[in-house]
Amino acid sequence: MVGLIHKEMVEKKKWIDDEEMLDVIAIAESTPGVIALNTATYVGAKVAGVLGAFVASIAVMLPSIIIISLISLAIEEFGNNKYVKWAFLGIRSAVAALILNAAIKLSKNNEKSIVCYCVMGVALVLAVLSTFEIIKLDMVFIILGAALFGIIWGIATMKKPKKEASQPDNSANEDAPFTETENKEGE
Amino acid sequence: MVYLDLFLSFLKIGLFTIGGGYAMIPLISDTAIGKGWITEDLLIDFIAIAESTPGPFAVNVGTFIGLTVGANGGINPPALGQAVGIICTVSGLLLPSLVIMLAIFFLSKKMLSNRHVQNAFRMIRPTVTALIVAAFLSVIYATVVTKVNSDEATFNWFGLLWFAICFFLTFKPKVNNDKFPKLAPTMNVLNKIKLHPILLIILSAGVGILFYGFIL
Repeated sequence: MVGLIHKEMVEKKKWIDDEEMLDVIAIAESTPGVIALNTATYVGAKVAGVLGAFVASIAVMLPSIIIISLISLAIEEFGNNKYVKWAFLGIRSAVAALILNAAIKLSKNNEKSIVCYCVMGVALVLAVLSTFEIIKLDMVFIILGAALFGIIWGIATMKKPKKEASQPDNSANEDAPFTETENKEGE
Repeated sequence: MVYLDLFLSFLKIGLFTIGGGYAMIPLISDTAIGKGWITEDLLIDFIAIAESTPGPFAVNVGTFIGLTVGANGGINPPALGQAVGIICTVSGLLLPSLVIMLAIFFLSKKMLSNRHVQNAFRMIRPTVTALIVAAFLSVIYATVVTKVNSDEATFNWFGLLWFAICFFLTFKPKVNNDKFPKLAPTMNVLNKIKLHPILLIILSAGVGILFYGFIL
């Protein structure tokens, strides 16, 4: 998609320049929300203000809405066809592979530190327990817990001198995300 | 009211989809399956469709769920209910993007370089990775323990085998060849195979029909 954005926005319409495009994409990827919609909102706002942002993001969604509506008609028609069922059974393995690849690709951007690995481990345990319905926990609280822990951890490690900060690594971060997310679980 | 529920659920999904695309799968399955809107099997089929159609992945999935749930939401005729359902999910997805990006645009880009925001994202990133891994485990479970031409879920060994093949066809290991010289030829071969996700899905559909339909 980035290639397409560059061709349309930078080369053809000259709405933004190269540097700004890199900026926009970096912002779009690191803020909450769908990346394509984030990008559209930003460029739309730059070219034509709030209305521009609105129009651009709706325009990005329209093709999806039309195409998916048509496809869902086809699913209704052919969903129970045995060939379609076999095909989707085969596709399921491919989807599993794609998701695993996405996780691996994403993990390359993660910080390689003990704290981050611990947070990942705790989040994984909670997420698996929740996915297989062993505990009832909204995934959102796992993300919120991690964010909160990140802020607290940032403040805690900021004030300490470097010598001390390296030692309590393990004990501190193993408890913290747990208690945060567990507190929220009760709500 | 199911339409309000759709809007609020997708507002939540939009707000917590950080990193785009596949990062939303755990949230979607948590919400949509949890609320009984769609089955896990249908969601997995739909991830494949959303991946192989143009348009942002999240919007594709949102449209599909809005349409499916909206059809039985109490609005007559069902076609109107579908339209309302789509509007609910899609506007829910859009709202966080619109508000946050406009705030960044009009207020300041410096909001993002705030120390606390940065620290929060430091921990959110590994968490999102973990959530996607959990979603993967759930999908692979649904692949390996499934109903193949019968009403009872059994161990589907071919699903596991084909998953392994798919994974190696798409896996791009970025391993330092100097560190592991013995692995270098294998890694080079893996890195040379370039299979677009859509091709992989089409290939898998063919393999699925062939194997589940005619061999098994």
